[in-house]
Amino acid sequence: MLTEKQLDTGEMTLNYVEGANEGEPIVFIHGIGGRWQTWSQEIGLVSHAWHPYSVDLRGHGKSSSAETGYRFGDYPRDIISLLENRVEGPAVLVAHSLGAVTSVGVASARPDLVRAVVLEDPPIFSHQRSGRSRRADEFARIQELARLDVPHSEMVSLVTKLYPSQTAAEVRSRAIAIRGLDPEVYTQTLTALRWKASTQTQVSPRSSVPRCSCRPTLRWAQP
Amino acid sequence: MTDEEAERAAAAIPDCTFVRMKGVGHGIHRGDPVNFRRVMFDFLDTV
Repeated sequence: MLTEKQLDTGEMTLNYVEGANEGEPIVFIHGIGGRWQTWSQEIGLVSHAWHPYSVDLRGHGKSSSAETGYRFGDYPRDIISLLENRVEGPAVLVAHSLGAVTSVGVASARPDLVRAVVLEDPPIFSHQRSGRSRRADEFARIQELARLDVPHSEMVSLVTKLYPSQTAAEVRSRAIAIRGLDPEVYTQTLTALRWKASTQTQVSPRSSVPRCSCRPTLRWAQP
Repeated sequence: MTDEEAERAAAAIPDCTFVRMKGVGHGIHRGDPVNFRRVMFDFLDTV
């Protein structure tokens, strides 16, 4: 049984879910364009032995937008606030992509709050990569969709065109996520992708990684 | 991540366990949920 809750961080309102306390805390964090439900199946699998949480990052899902921005260095503050105010004891962070970079920022800034991290394909160092126009095009299209004020059924139709190979369930989930997005979430990332230089400098994954003193696991994909 | 990026991260992160998942894209836990969960639970058992 998950309970949806909100935390006023002083900067924005963070939406998250909390499960029953059956063990040590574990916090799931989605990637860009996602929402807490991204991890719903994994939450169910750990619920018997852990105390699970899953968050909507700022500008995503039911969390509020944040006037202070969407740089990599902005997201960790929200998670630190959650860990300080709502989570008992150091937590394991399980995170994908943007969430993984955020976790690196959290673990670097507040290692006392983090027991271990699972980093699923974190875009560490990827700002130095060339030939990234395909991802930039995808993000730009998502940003355009997020700016539309259309009914769910129309959004499903538009998302189907963007992701023709995805299942109906995946498309529906993406459509819901996009309708909940602050389009500005993508602005900083698109700037970085298009100009091949990171403008997200408040917490540089490159410089933060060596300061991670908690125990991490890192996994990456090779399509 | 590219192999090069992963190797750089591996060198930069202390006390890190690395798992390379083949045949799956950026969204690993959706693309290959069985193996993702196996690796995740193996790791959680050690923390």
